[in-house]
Amino acid sequence: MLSKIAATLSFSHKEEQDVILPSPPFDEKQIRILIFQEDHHGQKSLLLDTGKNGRRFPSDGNQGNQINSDIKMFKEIMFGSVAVKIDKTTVKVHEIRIPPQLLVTKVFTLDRIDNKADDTSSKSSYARSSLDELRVSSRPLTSKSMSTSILRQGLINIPARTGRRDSGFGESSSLKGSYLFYPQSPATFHGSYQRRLFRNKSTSLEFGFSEDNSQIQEAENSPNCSNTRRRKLKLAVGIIFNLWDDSKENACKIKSFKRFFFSHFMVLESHINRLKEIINRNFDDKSNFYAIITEAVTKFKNTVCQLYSAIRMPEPVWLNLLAMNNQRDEICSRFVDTLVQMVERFNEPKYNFFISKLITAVLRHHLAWVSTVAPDEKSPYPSYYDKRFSVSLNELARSLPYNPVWAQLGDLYGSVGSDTRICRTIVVGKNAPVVRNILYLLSYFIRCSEIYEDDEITIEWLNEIDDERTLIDAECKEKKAPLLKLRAYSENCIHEIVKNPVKEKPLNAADAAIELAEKMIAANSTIVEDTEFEKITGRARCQSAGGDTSSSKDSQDNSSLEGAESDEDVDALYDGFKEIPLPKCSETHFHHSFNFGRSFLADYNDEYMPDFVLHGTPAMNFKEKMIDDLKHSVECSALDEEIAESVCIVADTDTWSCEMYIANNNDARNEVARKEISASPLVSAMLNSVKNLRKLFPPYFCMMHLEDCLSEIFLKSTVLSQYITANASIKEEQISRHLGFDKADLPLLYAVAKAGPQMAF
Amino acid sequence: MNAVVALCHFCEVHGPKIIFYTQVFHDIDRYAKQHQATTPNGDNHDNESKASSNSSSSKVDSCDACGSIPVGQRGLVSFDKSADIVYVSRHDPDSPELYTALRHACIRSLSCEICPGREGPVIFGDSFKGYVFSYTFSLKDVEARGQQKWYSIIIVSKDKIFLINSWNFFTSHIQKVTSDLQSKALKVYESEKKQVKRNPYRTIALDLGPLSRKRSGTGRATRSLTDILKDSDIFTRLHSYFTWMLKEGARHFTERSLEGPSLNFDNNFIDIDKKYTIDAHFDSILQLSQTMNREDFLTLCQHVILGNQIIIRSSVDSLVSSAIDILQSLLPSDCCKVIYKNTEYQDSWKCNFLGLNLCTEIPQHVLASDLYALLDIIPLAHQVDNSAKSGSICYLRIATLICNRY
Repeated sequence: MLSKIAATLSFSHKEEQDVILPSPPFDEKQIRILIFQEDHHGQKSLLLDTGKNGRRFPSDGNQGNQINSDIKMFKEIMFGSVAVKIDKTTVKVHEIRIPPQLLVTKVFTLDRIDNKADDTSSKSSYARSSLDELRVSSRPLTSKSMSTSILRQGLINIPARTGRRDSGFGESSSLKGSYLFYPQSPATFHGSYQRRLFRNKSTSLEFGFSEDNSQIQEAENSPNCSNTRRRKLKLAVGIIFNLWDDSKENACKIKSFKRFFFSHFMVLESHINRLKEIINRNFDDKSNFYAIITEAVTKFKNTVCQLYSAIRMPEPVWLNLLAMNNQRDEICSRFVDTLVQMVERFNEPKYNFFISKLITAVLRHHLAWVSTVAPDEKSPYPSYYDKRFSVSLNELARSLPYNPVWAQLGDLYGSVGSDTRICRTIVVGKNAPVVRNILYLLSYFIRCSEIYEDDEITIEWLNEIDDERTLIDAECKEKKAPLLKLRAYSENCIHEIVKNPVKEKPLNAADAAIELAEKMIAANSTIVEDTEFEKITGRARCQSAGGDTSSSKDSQDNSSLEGAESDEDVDALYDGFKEIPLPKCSETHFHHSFNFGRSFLADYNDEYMPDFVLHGTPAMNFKEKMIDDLKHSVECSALDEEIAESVCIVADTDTWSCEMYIANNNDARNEVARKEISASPLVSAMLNSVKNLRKLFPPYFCMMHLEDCLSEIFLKSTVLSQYITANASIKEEQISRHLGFDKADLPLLYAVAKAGPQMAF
Repeated sequence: MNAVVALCHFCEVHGPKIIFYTQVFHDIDRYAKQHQATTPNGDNHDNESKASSNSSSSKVDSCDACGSIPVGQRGLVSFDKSADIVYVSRHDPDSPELYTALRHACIRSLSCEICPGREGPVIFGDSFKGYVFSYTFSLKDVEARGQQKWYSIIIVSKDKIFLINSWNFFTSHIQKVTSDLQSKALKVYESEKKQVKRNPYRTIALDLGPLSRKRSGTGRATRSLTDILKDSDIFTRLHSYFTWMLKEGARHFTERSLEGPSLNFDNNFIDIDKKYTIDAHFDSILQLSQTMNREDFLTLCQHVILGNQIIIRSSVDSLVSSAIDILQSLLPSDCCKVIYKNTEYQDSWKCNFLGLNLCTEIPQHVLASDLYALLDIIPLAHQVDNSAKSGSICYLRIATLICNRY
């Protein structure tokens, strides 16, 4: 498998390390927070400034005298020069060049927080067995969770739009319309593929610009209408990141921080939202407001610094296997040997079968591994030993693009099922090498895609056109004969000529084009030529005939026969449009991007940290913080989606216990539940067989076996899912009896089934 | 990339205006058909009447400076046939929602939001009106108030995260384009300034002849971008450039992810025709097994595994091919030779799965042999509703199996 991967890497990339880890020195003092309020008269006043001169509150003294030009500038930038009516929270990002600063602004009207406890209709999903959930989720298009989430994301807005006749795309935005042009039925693909597809649909602008009406209504119906005073008050929270002086030695630091800032914005924003919510909630509590805000601000700064400077895992196994061809064998043998060693030592009864339990929990919640073992129908490689880069995903990205950075974070958090569940894993222990080894193992099972960034593409558009009279074609910027380029341009004219049929005497369009080309070579002055060129094309257009298409077709691009046929139809449909050749994109030079995969798998750090998908920490002293983070992650997630459930797996190598904490969005009490984890026999068997195989076989063989076992878990889950779908009323006991599955495996299999391909019904 | 790129202009007469925008549509035919649906009579005359009726208000208060696409032309298009995508550039959008969103973005970009240093990037927006990456810049123009005009290139999207992730990409590329535009405008500006100096009593408008039109009332010409740059192809170029941005923006970040091995055969991509979404078909081996008695089913499976020839006959092709697909999943990929549909019997050395019509004759020696299994799928009462969904499969309770039992 591994050697094959090397062969399929058809793109080049530099295995650079510099982009992987951010440089650590970023001080809390570099973050400055400004809070302004604007009352109903439009008067803006400063509420808080954590600037260099210490904290400043209006109560400190005469505020008016203290406002310097700096604050005045920020006030203008944050609110804007002309007031805009604000319906929702506005977010703004500014880059200030001198001095180098980044500014994130949130402008919002004060609002009462939605009290989720009021919602009596919401039912705790704990009441439902996972069996029921599977039943629901195995019908993706009718499932309540999925369909509401589609609606919520503004994907399909049938009721709002059916009556619109004037809208160009209104009629198409029905459920059927938007599904008709999926490259293939989405139901045949695994969860992470579907998630990407839905993301594309939910951010599409092709059906006009409808937004989630549900949320708007929610905001309007919220019971704060009586509180008119609060409604009028507008707040602006600005987070200023003071970067380093714009000198040469700092250029690298600035670049690195900016990279971090723009790539991690979704996580940063979730913390800003948290801050915003605290401000919102405590604004009326005048006596404690500043104390509470100060505390929240300190926490915010601390979190951001941690996020930036935490020690990242030096060698995440899965990602390195994906990226580093030349070291694949070493990575593989080190991983397998570590696994065997850890299983031998810590998978004993006296350690509570620690490794089995932990890996069961991780496989059950960080579900992105499923798509890496699930067979892809579109893959052209049938050999069982091959693992290939996903063809389907490539196709999807090409035709219905989504944001891979967002997709990767979702994968890492394990949010691949039909409803969004996220998970983080923390390994606790005083023995750092043991914790590190466990983190290392888990970095094989917690999987995600590798992101590449193409940062060398350029388009030299204006100059090129001026000099060479050709349309944009980044490939052409290499040395090609000028005549060739001219040809490209003149062909464009032919297209135009052909497409504006005027019934007159036939004229060979190709001849006209060549004539044009020659004229253009002869001409020097660009401006004069423009008009002349227009005249010529104009004349040619008048003379060209609609009937004589055969000669012009010859000179068209080397499109296939079929293509030419469909061209005719398309041409007819696009009557009145002028066709411009598609600008070609240059061959890409991929670089490792600064991405969540490498950033959110952290190493052994001194303290507990929020956000990270995986990290280790010495002591189990963070329970309160973690519970707070869990609740927060359910309320406003970094993923830009509503979160159904947020889980934290805590594996303690001091007590050899492994448990998980669950915050559920539907839970009316807003409490965090604690659950023991039990090992799945399938996982135990898998680990034992790898351990035993290693005595006889080389590491790569053991790794292949491991993959086969994972694949088997997936296939079993598919059987389970099909069986449940076909036998709607079956009981859990019957399932394990009929299918011969161990009951202890069922929770894992349910979870995997939800991440796998959904049955089409 | 799920976004719209637009060029906005702060018109001296009309304030902030969208003058040109480019949008992506997936599915080339669908876009055009929908588009035609809005203009019921397909003649060319209709375009103008439609344009005037649709955006009558904008038509009245527009001038050269706010214009882009020449009269009589609906817009510019580029096709990416390999991905079934069309890039369409027009003056302003048909969809009222999109028009509102773009207009809102345009106004905020040019007259509300402040970019430190006036020229440069800023992101703003909310989940209601969408998110906007805006890059403001000015172009020199002899005739303009203050001798410069303000423009902005905006990228409007619902995906805030994507816009912010792509900040560096957008900034660096738009910067390049705007500086190119600026240097071009500067050249024109300088040459025109010389002319003004030479003939202080003549206005440039007269020099340019018919290209510029005097505006009544102000007595000053509001010049279009074409005139400011002296570039008649500028909107073609902007179209190409915006198209490139939309295309490349989507490719800027790519992900590579591994997947499991294929369970398919013959190195073939699955044929979409075989995804029987409408026709009656078997979804799973479970469903197939339910159409016959248990013993028959096990016998059939045994034949499959032994490598005997399996002949399936039915009047409904999709039933045959789906049954073959399901049964061949029992075998390793290299052990399957399939003929989904044939008019006459084929020998077992040619294929071990053979699909035939119900009326096709099977040679006697085959029927007599142990090495064959024949499965006839006969719809109950010969009624198969092809239009019905897969649910209609439950009518097919009869599958006759002719073969030797083991």
